[in-house]
Amino acid sequence: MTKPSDYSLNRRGFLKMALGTGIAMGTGISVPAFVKSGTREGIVEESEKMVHTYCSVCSANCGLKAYVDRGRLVHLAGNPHDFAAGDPFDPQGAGGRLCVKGHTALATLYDPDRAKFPMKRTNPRKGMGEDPGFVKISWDEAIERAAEGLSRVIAEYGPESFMVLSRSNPYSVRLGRAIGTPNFVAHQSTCFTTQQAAWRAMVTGGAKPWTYDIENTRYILGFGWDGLGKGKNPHVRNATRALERGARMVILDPYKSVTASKAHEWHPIVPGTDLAFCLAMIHVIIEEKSYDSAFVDEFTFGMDKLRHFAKEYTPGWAAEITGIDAETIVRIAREFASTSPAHIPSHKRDGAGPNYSNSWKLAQAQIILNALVGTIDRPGGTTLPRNPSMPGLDAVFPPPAYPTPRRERIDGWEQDNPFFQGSIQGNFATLAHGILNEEPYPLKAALVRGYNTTSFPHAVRATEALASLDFMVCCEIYPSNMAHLADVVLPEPHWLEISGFGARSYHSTYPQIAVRLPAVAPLHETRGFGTIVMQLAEAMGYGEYFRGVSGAEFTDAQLRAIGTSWDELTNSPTGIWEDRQPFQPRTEFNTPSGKIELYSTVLEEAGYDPLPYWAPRREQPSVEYPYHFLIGRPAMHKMTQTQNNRLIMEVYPENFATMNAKLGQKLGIRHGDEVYVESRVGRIKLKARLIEGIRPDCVQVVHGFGHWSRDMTRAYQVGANDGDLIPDMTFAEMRKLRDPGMGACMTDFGVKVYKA
Amino acid sequence: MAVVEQPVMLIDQSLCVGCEACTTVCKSVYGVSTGVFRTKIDREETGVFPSVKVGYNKRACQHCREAACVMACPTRALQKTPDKLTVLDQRLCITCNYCVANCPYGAINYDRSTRTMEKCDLCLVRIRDGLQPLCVEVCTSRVIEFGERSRMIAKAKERRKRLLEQGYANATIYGEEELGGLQVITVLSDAPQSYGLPPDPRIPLGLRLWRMIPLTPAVLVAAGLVMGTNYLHTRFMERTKQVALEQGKKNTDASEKKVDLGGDAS
Ligand code: SF4
Ligand code: SF4
Ligand code: SF4
Repeated sequence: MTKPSDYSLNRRGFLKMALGTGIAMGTGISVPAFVKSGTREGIVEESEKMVHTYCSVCSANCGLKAYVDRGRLVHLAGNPHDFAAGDPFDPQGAGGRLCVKGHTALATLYDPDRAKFPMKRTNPRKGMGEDPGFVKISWDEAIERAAEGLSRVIAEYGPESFMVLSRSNPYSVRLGRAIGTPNFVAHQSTCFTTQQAAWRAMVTGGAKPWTYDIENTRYILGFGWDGLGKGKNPHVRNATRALERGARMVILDPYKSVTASKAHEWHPIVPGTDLAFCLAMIHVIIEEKSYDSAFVDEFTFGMDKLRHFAKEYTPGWAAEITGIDAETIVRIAREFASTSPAHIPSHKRDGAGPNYSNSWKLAQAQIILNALVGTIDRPGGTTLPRNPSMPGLDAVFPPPAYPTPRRERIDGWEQDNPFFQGSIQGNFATLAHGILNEEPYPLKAALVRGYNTTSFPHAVRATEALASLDFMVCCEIYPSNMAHLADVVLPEPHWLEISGFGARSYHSTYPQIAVRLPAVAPLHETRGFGTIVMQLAEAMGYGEYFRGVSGAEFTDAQLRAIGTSWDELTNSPTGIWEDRQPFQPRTEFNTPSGKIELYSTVLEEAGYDPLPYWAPRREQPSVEYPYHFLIGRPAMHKMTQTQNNRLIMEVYPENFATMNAKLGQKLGIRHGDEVYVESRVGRIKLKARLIEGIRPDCVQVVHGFGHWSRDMTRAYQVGANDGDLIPDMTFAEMRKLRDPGMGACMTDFGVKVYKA
Repeated sequence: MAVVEQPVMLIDQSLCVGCEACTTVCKSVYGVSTGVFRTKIDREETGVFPSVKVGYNKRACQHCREAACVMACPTRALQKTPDKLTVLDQRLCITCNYCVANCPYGAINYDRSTRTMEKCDLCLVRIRDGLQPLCVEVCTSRVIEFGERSRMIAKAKERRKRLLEQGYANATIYGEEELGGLQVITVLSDAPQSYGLPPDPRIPLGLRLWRMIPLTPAVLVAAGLVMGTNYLHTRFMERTKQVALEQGKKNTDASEKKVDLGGDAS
């Protein structure tokens, strides 16, 4: 078995070899003979083999080349033929790239803390910090126990007492449907549903597109957008190219993010007021008739109503709300309208993400502004996906009829909301309340995959809720907090150990697919998720739903549907299949009018405001909790998944309560002091970091830290979890917010800070 | 690819996003010990809210033509190659830390666990083979290039021109003249201080004097040490090391603090 310290063997070997060659003294300074003494260190290209796969740390899924030498993965590099990892300006030449998270994935693969074999808990008490007393069991026993435990709960409380807590996966969805539960709970209300609802209603009839042709944008206007700081490979590469070519960039963000520090202008706007700024921009652009009238006339709907609507939102009005003076607002509106192409990129969790109760309106306003300057599915703008369409599992292997779920969902998702019907998405903000109060019914068992407790709003309560389950099965690559709440832990392989293919969504201007081949043989006694689910189904008596289902055949059927095959893909010298086509701008959009609906008839129909009328955020800072709360997401960390990675933790070892030096001074807090950050639901203790690049009325905490599982030896008790401060909600409370995106209001509350 | 004759690395810090892809790949491939770096990003914040500037600087050996470390090294473990790179012969290094104390860029790190010095050698083995340094190949924002000095300087000038056009009135090229010319040329959107770089690096007089002491005995002393034979000389060198460590601490204290609390790129 391989240990992480093996990495340094390389180098020690080199030193030893160098010493062995004898001391080259007196040969003058000209020839550093020792360098020529035969070492090939650093020449990763000379590895025994190179394997094509793609990165699964984040959803950009960059194509990559894995260099393997003597069975050991030594280096990961971007695949130059891939549109996410390659160079659009030099597709043949300059070589592929990855981001820091992609490059360091090999340290997760070789992490000695990984979950290595199936385990059962021996300590019946569950909860934060409770040692589960895991013991190793065989796979046969693990599947049997898991099936028995889940079946017992379902028999006692009914099918809806079981939930799948996972991102959408065809196998677990089929198992859940076979059981008859409505509960497929996932994290999207903490991530992007505010943006998704607006895009679905106004432009796409479906998803929010994540592809930006930003390299061709000449005026980039960002609201909390940190495309350069989050480090996603295609976004960083393309945005830096735009800057290199002379694009102007203006960033509004209460925190001086990396993107803000690379921008020509930074405006530390009052948190939660970006909507007012956008409304005033719309006002100016319409008053001055500086919009792209050709685009607006032909491709949008509702300009008359918008014109009327925007009248009251003057720059003077917005100046008072946003703290940015009226002249600046007018100037930015003019620059935005007169520099073509201009665009407001918006990615997950930035300004228009589910941060405030008015974030979905901000998403609406941003779509309007982008439409006014004609950069929706046009060069320099957000482009709609051109992913290949492939059959799903049910089309390839039709299942027997599913039972109809008897009850509504426990997290309220889909209820009274036309935007998420049938979506395997969900609501992390309301789940805990549902479980703890058995509202509307008891939920007692879960199949959990890849989620951690620290991802939930009010994480302490969510942990309590998940610990209260009678039975939990957790599929994981790490013995995480979540695994510590499980009765049975089923270890999965790392993505560098498996095969498959990926159609990617972050840079999809033409259909393209990347192959995944195993870089190394599985290091541990793991099983793939599809296999786990099918074995569980068999043991639970739902085997008929998976009769004849084969993962390999499913893959091949999907590939054949687009004109290739598994054989062809695996033999591709580039690791890529693609259908390269010149960019054809859309002339029709998937809305009732076939146009981009500035005035959204879909929202109106569903009972929401068709236009983004100004509304303040839900909760302003108060006397007791006087400061705005901000969440940071650095390039190095992927949410809660990277805090045990030795390479990443070396460059980003801890999170802090970041505040302005002036605020520190006022509160008697010095750089490095231990402080408490407290909200109305909880408090966390971490070190203060005093800087200038943040509004003096804000406190920022970076997400991902605060792991309490002792088996995560590097992550254990390092920093603190921002999620402990975020209030969760009842479904009724969420409904009252009238947000079609059902956003979790991740920062819509105030905090206080004091010395620990 | 042909081997470059006057190898120079060009870094456009105005576009570096501080992501540390370069840092981690360098560490991973070369197996550099935990807590030790051949290259590392420093975040430099200047100004007062709301007029704040943040610069990211890739801290690594600049391969100074007039190299303080080479002058400081009592055993000639640090040498200049004919193409002006600064390389370290681990066999001669007695880890006296004198180079650490004198490098104006905080580019040499002492690795306690292996008792060796770590510094960037511009991926010497790779470039001798006609390949590019690793960080050039992995930089996510593609802001590092490698090639002939003249070509790199021409590119830097082009980039500076663009920055001036964009309103960055203090845009600077760093490394063309500094310390006799560095083999790492850096493009900055602002004055060097905004990136935490010394605006006018100089070799301290003390170091020049030290350099004038005939060094041959010192080299012998060093050789003696490496072979572990001469007790008296060991004692002498221990003292030297002590002094150097004291000085080095001052340097590293400052930079360690940065790594600790300013390692930010959110
Ligand atoms: S952006 Fe980074 S983490 Fe995301 S897929 Fe690409 S290399 Fe992996
Ligand atoms: S940067 Fe430091 S280590 Fe590199 S040559 Fe100059 S003095 Fe020596
Ligand atoms: S990889 Fe490039 S952008 Fe990232 S820190 Fe290094 S030099 Fe800067």
